[in-house]
Amino acid sequence: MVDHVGKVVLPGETLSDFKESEKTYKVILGPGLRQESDDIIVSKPGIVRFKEPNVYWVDSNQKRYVPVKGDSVIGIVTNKAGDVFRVDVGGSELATLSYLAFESATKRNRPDVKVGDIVFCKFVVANKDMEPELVCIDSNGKSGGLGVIGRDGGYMFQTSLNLVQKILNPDCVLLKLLGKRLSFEVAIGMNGRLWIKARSVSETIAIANAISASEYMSNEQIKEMCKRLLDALAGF
Amino acid sequence: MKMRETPLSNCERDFIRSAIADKKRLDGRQPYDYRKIKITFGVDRGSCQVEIGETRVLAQVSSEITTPKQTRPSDGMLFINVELSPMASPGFEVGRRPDVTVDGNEVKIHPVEEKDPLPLSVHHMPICVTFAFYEQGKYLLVDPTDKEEKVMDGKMVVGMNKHREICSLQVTGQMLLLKDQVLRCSNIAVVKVTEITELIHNALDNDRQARGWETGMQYFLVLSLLIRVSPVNEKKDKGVGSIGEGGPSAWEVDNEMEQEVADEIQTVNKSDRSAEGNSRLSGNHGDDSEEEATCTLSKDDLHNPTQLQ
Repeated sequence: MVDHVGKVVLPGETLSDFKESEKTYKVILGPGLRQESDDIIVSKPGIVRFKEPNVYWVDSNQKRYVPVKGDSVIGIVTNKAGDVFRVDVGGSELATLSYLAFESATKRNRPDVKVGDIVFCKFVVANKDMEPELVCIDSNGKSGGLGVIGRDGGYMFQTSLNLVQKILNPDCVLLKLLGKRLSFEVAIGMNGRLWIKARSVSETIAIANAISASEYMSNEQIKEMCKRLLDALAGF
Repeated sequence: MKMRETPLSNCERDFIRSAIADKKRLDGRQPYDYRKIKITFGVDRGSCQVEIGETRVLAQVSSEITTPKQTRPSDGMLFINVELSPMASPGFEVGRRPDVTVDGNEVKIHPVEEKDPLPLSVHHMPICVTFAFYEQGKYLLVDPTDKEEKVMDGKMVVGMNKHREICSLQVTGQMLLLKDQVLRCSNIAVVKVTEITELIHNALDNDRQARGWETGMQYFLVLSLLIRVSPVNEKKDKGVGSIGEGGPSAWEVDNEMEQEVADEIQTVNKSDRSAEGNSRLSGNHGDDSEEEATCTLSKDDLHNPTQLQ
């Protein structure tokens, strides 16, 4: 089906002739493609992408986040319900985060999480038929950077999902350039939320705006912008 | 089904509060700055697109001749229909359309004569200016963004026309306002309303001229009036219709009291100038010329805020 790759598709179209893996004879369908009995149906408008050996998905520019297992996201705790926290991750449904899913948390030793806190966490259950579930520990029970963030300042803001993917791409120079001259902490959630903490309020705002502005910029343009930004911040 | 709005986290709230205390705003504006306004007219008569900051509104005016109401035979009717798309905010309800119907006596619809329709006779244009208050009125912001509105203690909306008549005044929130503050706000509102009214009139005049030249031709005529951002520019002609971030005031003032307000704002801006240098790149990438009437920005302009000075 190599002829579909790179083409624009619309919801409802059926695709066929997928390239299978040589070992397992399987095809992996990513976001935007769905199997309905024997057909493969497109479920969102965009461009069909293919990755060796057998992965297919539809690429589009969207802001609405759909939970995916294994994604690291930034959520806002909206309420406490019994043993779980209900966390807003920007998806269609609130996700649950068990209070035991924190580093060194036990039945007696509850983690200190308040309503309105932001948490950096990972999805362990993300399924279209079930409530998504989050954790703040890895399989060894360590936090590894996950947990409550933003207690001591910093700013969180929302961008598009594409921008987040662009920033995280190893080819993107934005964070490297900013990091050369400014010291700041950043947490990037796959749901399009970013949390930034720099030394001062103005630096934080500057970095946040630089990131939002870089959405449609090439690496060259980003370099130019960062140079200006850093010069302006240094007071030239 | 009505969707939830994204909750505001403690982290954002604290950050916005501390930024306001620092006299800084997330989009790089000064406390008394309005967002950038851009007015564009469509090909057809009666259609107009307005951009205020990140918000875009499309307006379409249409008219028909009907029998006036029996009780008010000399008056026409005005209907206003507002459609809020759920694409704009998930908080807007899906599948329902909030209808607002206004029966007013302020606007009359003239009958369409032979060919050219006559413009509506708009007697005056009230314009709303919003003020947000923080920490019991200690800090004041003009034209707050949605996040700033979520954090504020209370707000005051002043509806005013260019004759300095207050048409509406609404105060919401849990705070007490002093008499001085209300007066101060109304003085700022006078300045903002004058600016915006002038801007709308300029845009309308330009549009009228452009249509005059191209009568009968189906040109794709998009006339835009871009209000330039002028953060640090001392040599500014008085009366240039520009609304932007920072900069000394170029407001036309003929009343002593307003001069005072303008001076006050100017001093605030001056004291912030050193800090502004820092935050300049953070929010605005516009250049410094304010007489431009086109909206084409070259790549260099976008990234050269200092070059043109």
